[in-house]
Amino acid sequence: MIKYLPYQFLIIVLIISANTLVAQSKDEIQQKQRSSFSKISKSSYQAVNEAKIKLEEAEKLFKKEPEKALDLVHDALLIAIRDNYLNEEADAYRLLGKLNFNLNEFGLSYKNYVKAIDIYNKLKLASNRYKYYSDILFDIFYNTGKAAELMNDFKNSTYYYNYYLKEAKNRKDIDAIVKGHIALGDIYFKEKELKGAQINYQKALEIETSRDNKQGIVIANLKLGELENEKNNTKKAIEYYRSSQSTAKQINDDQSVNQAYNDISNIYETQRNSSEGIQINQEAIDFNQKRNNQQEVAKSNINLANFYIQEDKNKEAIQTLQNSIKITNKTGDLENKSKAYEALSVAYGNNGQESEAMKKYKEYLILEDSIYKLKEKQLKDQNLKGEMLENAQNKLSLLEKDKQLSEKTIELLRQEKTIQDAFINKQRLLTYSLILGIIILFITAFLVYRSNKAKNKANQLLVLKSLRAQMNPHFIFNALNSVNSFISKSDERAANRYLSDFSRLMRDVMENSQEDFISLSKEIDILSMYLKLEHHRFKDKFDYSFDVEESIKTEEFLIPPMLIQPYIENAVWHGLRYKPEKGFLTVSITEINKVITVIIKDDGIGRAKSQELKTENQKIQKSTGIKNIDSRLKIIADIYKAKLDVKIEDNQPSGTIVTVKIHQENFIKTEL
Amino acid sequence: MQLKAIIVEDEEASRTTLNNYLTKYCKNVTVLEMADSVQTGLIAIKKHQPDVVFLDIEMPYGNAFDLLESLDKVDFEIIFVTAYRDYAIKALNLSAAYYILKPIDIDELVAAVTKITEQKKGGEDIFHTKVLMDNIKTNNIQHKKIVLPQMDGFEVVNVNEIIRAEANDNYTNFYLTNGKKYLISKTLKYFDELLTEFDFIRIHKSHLVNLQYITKYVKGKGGQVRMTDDSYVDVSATRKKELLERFK
Repeated sequence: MIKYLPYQFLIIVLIISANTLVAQSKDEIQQKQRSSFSKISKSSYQAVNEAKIKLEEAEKLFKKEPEKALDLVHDALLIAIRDNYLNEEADAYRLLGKLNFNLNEFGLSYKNYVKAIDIYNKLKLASNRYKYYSDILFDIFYNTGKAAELMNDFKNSTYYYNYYLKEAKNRKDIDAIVKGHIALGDIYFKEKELKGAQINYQKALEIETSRDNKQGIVIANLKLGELENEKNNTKKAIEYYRSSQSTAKQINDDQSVNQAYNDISNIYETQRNSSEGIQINQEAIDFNQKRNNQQEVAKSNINLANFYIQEDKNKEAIQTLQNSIKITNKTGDLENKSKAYEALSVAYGNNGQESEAMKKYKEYLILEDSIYKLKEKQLKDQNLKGEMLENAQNKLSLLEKDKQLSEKTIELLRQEKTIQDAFINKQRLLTYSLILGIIILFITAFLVYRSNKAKNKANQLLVLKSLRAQMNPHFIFNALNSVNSFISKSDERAANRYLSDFSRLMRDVMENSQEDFISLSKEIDILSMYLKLEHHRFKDKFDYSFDVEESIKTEEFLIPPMLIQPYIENAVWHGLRYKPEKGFLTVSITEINKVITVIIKDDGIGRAKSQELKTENQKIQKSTGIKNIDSRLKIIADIYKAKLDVKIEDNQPSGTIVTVKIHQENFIKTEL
Repeated sequence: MQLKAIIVEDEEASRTTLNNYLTKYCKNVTVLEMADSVQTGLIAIKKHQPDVVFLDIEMPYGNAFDLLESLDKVDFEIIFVTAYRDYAIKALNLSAAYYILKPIDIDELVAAVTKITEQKKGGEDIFHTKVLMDNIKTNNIQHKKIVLPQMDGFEVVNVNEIIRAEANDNYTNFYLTNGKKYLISKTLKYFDELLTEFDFIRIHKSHLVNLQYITKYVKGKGGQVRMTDDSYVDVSATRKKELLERFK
């Protein structure tokens, strides 16, 4: 793994640098965002409260001081727009719409209502206060429709009323449903779409009748009466008016009663049906005198007088009108007074009293003039207010433009952020793919490393197979030589015995050469056979002893085959063979704590001297036995993690001691 | 013709084996002494002036070559005895020396003795022992000699005189730098093994060439090489790569 270290270092550096890159760009963006929004989000809690309080105050001052209320709403709107409080902004527009409506500025009212609706709709969808906002919207729909209607924008009016009606039906709010139908009916009526108007009015009447709402019935009947009148179905119209009237009487709705009287009277007037006209107006006068509605009495008197004039009953007319003037003098009702003088002038004229007629006419003109002046003053006031509102509205639109501009800036910032985000994502992707690549690299490296290791192991096993259990060919040929010598001596018995021993040894060696480990008992068999044969060749050179500790369970211990034999061979060939006198070889096997110790001890000439004795020509030939065993030990230690100690030292006074220690517990064959 | 013989062999069993077989199967050989080492062998040789020495190659306290190096002149024939084919065999083959392998094959022993007997009868020089000695003494690979056995005798040439060898059934034709051509009674394979260490290369089933005498390579499936004697020799496709590697 050491050779991968430089890569690891490189990779770590790469990862760190990529991370810092990403972190840096993140910081930059956050800083940008902070600087662009800091103006807005300053003490936001205070600002929103301020706007709310101003709106509440404006609502309170709404009726009494509309101008002051208007100022407050503007202030609140300013805050709301600046700080982007949508809820407060919408509230402000709604209040503004309401204020404008009350000041009869229906166009402005409509505009503000529409703005409010716009924002509320957004809030309804975005916030979790769905019901709250739909309630508000429901109210505004009607008001918006009304504002549109009053500025004669019937199309938009119909649009909003329809919305209102639909919502009312959804809510099963019957009052609202009726209100909606009446409103729509009015629009159709104004647009002369009488059929549509009739359907709506009748729907309203139907609902009101079914729930026995008297007031509603009164209104619906009045509306239907007007409709029939418009269609010139006077008879039907009068029926509706009468019906409305009788219900109105039940609930003391004098105004509606009089409305009906007035409408019926008008019909008769158009028809020039004076007898019916006189009758209905006398009925009205009776009713209103009972109710002490002086103004209505005066009005009905004028109507009555006009019918008298039609019938040429000028005296009755004059009397009635004077009565009427008396009443209007008390009530100060200039309009009716004026009408009365006008009619009186006609009546005097018809009666031949020209100068009286002229006097009354002058009186009439004076009254008309003062009425005109009064109206003019009212109009002036109205215009003044209108101007003021117009200015306020202009200020508002400036504000809105400002807001749109800032929205654009925000949008730009947002876009910038998206681009930055994309950049970050790209970088992140790059980092991730880099990391992924590195991981893949690691895995590959690991796999290659592992497969190499496995291959190595396989190779080593192969090498081990070829190395293990190789009897020195010298030994084999020499053994055969021995047999040959018996043959040459015609010693049949000895030749046979030697050959049998040799065959047995070769068989054991060959059988066990396939194993990496054999039992100690088997190895002992092989060694004793080998010793016997070697000793036979060098009887004159050495004697030997082979001791195995009796307590060792030789069947249980495992040992690599032919591990010990080469050491014995060396002892004989390089030690004992050169010794002038007879030497002695000791092979002993002992066990302590699962460690098998094999000692091969000879009193030959020793390693140093043996090497010394070799001539240059002899050194060319190498001892393969020990080299072979070294390779085997290395590979066995590698593959099986086995521990094999070999110690070679000099014996005293001469010779060599080889100690082989085999740590038993380690011989666990590992799978490849 | 009687031959005086000495056996130099460290192992007692081997000595007796050889002695027994010679007594039984080679009646014209008289073993005068059996030595068990190089030292005792030298003494015995000087003492008996033998016609033939049976010499074990590997012995303690010095081997067969040590013994030969200790002699001023070799005026006897040697039959080497060795346990198995090792490095020494090449040297022996180069000089066409006689040797027998242990365990001793009686037929081989008889054949070797017969050849030596005939040689002695013909009064020929014992030159292949000289060649062997020369080859042992010189370390310069280019100065080594090879003995080429012919039908009627031996030809001794310097290894670096050989341009190429060509198979001819069980014989081999040798082409030398002096323009001479010899028909040798051994297979090309035999010489291939002997001469590879002298920068010879087998470029074809039938051709063994001395690398230093190649003058040109002609491209082809296997191609051809031109030698210094202007002869063209085929290169087989399978050996082409090995040849070209040598010139890198």
